[in-house]
Amino acid sequence: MTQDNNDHENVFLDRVRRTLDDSADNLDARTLSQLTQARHRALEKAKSKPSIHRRPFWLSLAGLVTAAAVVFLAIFLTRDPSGPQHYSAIEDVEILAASENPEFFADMEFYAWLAEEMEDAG
Amino acid sequence: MLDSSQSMERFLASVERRAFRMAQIATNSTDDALDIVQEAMLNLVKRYGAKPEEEWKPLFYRILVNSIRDWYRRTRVRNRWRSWMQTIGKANDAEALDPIESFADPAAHNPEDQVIIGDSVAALDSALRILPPRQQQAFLLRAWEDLSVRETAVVMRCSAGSVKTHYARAVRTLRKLLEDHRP
Repeated sequence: MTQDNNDHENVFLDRVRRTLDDSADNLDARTLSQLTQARHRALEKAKSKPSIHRRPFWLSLAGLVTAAAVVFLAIFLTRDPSGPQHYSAIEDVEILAASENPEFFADMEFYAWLAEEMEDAG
Repeated sequence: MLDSSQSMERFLASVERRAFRMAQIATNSTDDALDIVQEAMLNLVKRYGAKPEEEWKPLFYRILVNSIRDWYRRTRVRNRWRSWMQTIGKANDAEALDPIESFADPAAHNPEDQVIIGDSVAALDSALRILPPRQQQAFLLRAWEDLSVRETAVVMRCSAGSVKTHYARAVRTLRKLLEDHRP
């Protein structure tokens, strides 16, 4: 870019900035009032509901431990040792945590049958 | 010394007008712009109020740019839906819809005409609205908010190279639209 073109661009940008500044400085009274209300609402909400970042670390940790305990207790109390379904909750968690495609788990019966067939053939 | 809520209030008061204008230029709607700014203020206070004060400006503009992007998405879906409903309605009346009718007439906001009538703010707004959203944002953040290339890249979630490209294209288009047609 030449010096002349650069100067022209700077003059142009100064003019644009001035126009934008003027437009922001001359907002109508209704808009200014609504902006002030929006700002006060945001600050009020912050006072009434403390941010999670300001919560003490031990409080967040206690919440996590409680949630984990409730989940494990629920799994333990609802399992039925007599039937094959007593692993279902744990299996669900394993499926969710696994890296395989969910379709793989939908076709589990097919893979079990295939393994049996191969064993029989072998 | 100011406490953190006083500092936050002072910060929000210092950016709210420009943020509103950015959102208004993007949406061409005062009400939508006010909603976007309010949402950005709330999110900044709620999520990042505890961050150091010097980080607030880029964080605030990042939230604002995200909110504007969400507005574009919602508007696109709404317009598509509305256009589809109109098509169905007109098809029922055995009238074919001319797709050209669905698009805004660019001549309706011709910046050249507005410069001629001396309304420089309206002319600038119209010219800025002609820019693609990313160019518009890069231009306003760099040229008006005085953010560095790196800060703008963080705000827009793109590379510094993309910011430079968007900005250069925006300046070229705006100069062509506004400077060449000065009375």
